[in-house]
Amino acid sequence: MTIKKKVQFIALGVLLCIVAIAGVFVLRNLSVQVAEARLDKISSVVRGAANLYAISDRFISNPSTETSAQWQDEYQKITETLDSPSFEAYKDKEQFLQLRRHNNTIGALFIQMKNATGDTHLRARFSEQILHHTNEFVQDSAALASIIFTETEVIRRQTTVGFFISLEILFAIVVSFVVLMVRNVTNPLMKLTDVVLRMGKGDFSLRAPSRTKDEIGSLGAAFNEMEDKLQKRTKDLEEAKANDEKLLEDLNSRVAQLEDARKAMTNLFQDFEDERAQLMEAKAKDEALLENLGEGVMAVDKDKRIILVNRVAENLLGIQRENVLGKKYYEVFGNQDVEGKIVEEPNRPITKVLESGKKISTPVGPFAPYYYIRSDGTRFPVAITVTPVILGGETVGVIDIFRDVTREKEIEKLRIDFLALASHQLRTPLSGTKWLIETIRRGVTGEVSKKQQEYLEQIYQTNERMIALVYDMLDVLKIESGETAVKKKNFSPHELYNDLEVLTEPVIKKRGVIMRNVLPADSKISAFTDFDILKGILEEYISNAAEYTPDGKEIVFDAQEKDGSIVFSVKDNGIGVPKDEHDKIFQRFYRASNAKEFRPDGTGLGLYRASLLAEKINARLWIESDTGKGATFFASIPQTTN
Amino acid sequence: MKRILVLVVEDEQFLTRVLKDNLEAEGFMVDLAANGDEAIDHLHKNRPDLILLDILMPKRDGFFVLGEVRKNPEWKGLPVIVLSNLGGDTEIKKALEMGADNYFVKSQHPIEEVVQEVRNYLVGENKKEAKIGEVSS
Repeated sequence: MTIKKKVQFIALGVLLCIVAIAGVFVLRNLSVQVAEARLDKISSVVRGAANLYAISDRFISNPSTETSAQWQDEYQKITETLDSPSFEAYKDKEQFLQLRRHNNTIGALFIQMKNATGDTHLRARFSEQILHHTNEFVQDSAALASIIFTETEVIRRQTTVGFFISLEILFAIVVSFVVLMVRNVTNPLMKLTDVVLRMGKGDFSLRAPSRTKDEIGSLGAAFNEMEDKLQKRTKDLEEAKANDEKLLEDLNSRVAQLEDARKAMTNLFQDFEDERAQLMEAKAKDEALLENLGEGVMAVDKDKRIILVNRVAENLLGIQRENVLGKKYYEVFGNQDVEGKIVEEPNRPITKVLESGKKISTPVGPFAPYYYIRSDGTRFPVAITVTPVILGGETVGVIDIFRDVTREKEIEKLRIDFLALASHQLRTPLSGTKWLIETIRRGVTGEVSKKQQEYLEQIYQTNERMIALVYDMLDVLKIESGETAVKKKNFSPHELYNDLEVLTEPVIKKRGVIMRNVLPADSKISAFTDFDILKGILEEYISNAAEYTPDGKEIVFDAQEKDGSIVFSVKDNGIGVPKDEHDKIFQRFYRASNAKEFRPDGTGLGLYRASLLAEKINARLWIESDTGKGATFFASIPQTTN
Repeated sequence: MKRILVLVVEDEQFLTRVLKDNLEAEGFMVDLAANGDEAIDHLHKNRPDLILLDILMPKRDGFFVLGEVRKNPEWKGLPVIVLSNLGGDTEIKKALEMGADNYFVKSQHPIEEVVQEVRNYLVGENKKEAKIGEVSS
């Protein structure tokens, strides 16, 4: 049974008790009231009876109408009182009946007495009887009064007892209520409190009272459930807390690391700032340099877009930096070859370098193969060097450095024209004198004496030397001016030798030497270079050998493959070259000391010319020789294939 | 026997003198022209058997003459030997392409050789043939 029901029961009990008590109380009061009313009435009867006696007594002594009226009044009162409902309960009681009898008798007697007015004796008897009965009446009434009084007391007592019993019952009920409360509510609640307190301390071992089938029981059960959940929750929380703590630890260490990193970064940053300042300075210097270079500089990225252009480039090409940055270079300025043909984009040096990653530069000197076209359509000759910018093995852009060589070209044209003119102007008189002398010697102008012939011979030779000198000088000047273009092709040493044989035949014959080659007939050597230039070098060698070798001796021509090069050699058995003059003989106008002795009329330009030619085809020249022991002149070219 | 005529086209006075003397010593007749116009003039008036032609001349130069000679069918088969001091490959090539039979760089050859070459074209059994046909100038 639930507490609620129990309480309800108790409440009901209490209510009933209270009602009982009230009832009892009311009952008591009523009873008491009734009893007291009765008592009151009987008292008044007693008093009235007493009065009546007194009055009767007076009447007897003095029978007046007044007194009779008083006696009748009093008697009326008593009768009425006896008739009152208060005595309803006693109406069958003996004492009361007796009282009534007395009352009636008295009344009757009085009437008789009254009626017996003349008879004093009768009156006196009636008076005696009235007194007697009144006295009896008084005594009876008093007795009744005392009975009633006792009854009243009893009732009073009883009801009080009843009242107190009720009270006791009530008390008991209350006590039992308290007990109930203590047992079923307070105790469990205290236990619950205990459990809660323990729970608060983390002890989930205590169980709440849950066995009773009432609200407390449900509460207890619910509490236990909660306890279990809480325990679990607490455990989870503790786990989580442990995790969190670990996490926090991690975080802290991370933060410490980050802090270190931050410090490092700050230092690094400071270093960077310093570097940056330096770089800015360097950059400013570079920019100043770039701007003030005498040459145009243009940088192009791998998408062929212009990323840098300096002031000179701007001026030369008639463009503005702001307008061209980011544009494809071939849309900004054009390129023409020497013949004035437009060079299409795929063939332009910038594109070619981007693709090949190899530098392209036009030859030094006025031999400009390209013209750049300005924004206004005019063109100017350029000497360009296009260099790839390689980053991590990849070509990420190119730098084109170019120079307007109009002036150089003009100067060179002047030079060439001068050369051409000079050569013609010098050769003409020289060839004139040559033929004049020859004509005389031939006798066309008349007979010539022996002595005259000797002199003429001298003059002729001198003239020849002059011609040779003019030729050599002009030739050297020509080579120096870079006019000779290099035309590479494949050829065998045999081909070369055959040409050389023809070319050097005059000087060989003149000097009376013999030339042969020692090339194997099936030689597979294939040279790839400028045929004419190499021929020129070897021709110099051969004529040198011929000039400085005594009659009848041999000149041997050879060509060998060695270490990735092809080495041509011309060996003679002539006067040789002193060891300390090996380097010098290639210098302009230098003649070896023993050469000057042997042949005073050399120009000193032959080997110099050979060295200029060698430069053009990247050939290396050297000599092996000793004084009086002949000489071998070498020329090696790199062995490359087409 | 009709004497063989050689036309020498050259502006240098002493050279023409030398050539004339040497050629006459060989028995040839020599006509002289000092520039291109004169040369054409002589060609019309006195058709020669061979022309010795210089290139660098005032007024019209040797190339002009070459062109005219080769253009005119009248002068077909006329040997032309260029005598010049212009030694450049370009000039030599140009002259030969324009129809010159040979090219001598004066300072490189004794006059003897020149004379001999003339004889080759004009004298003897196995005369050298001049370049036949039109050569566009």
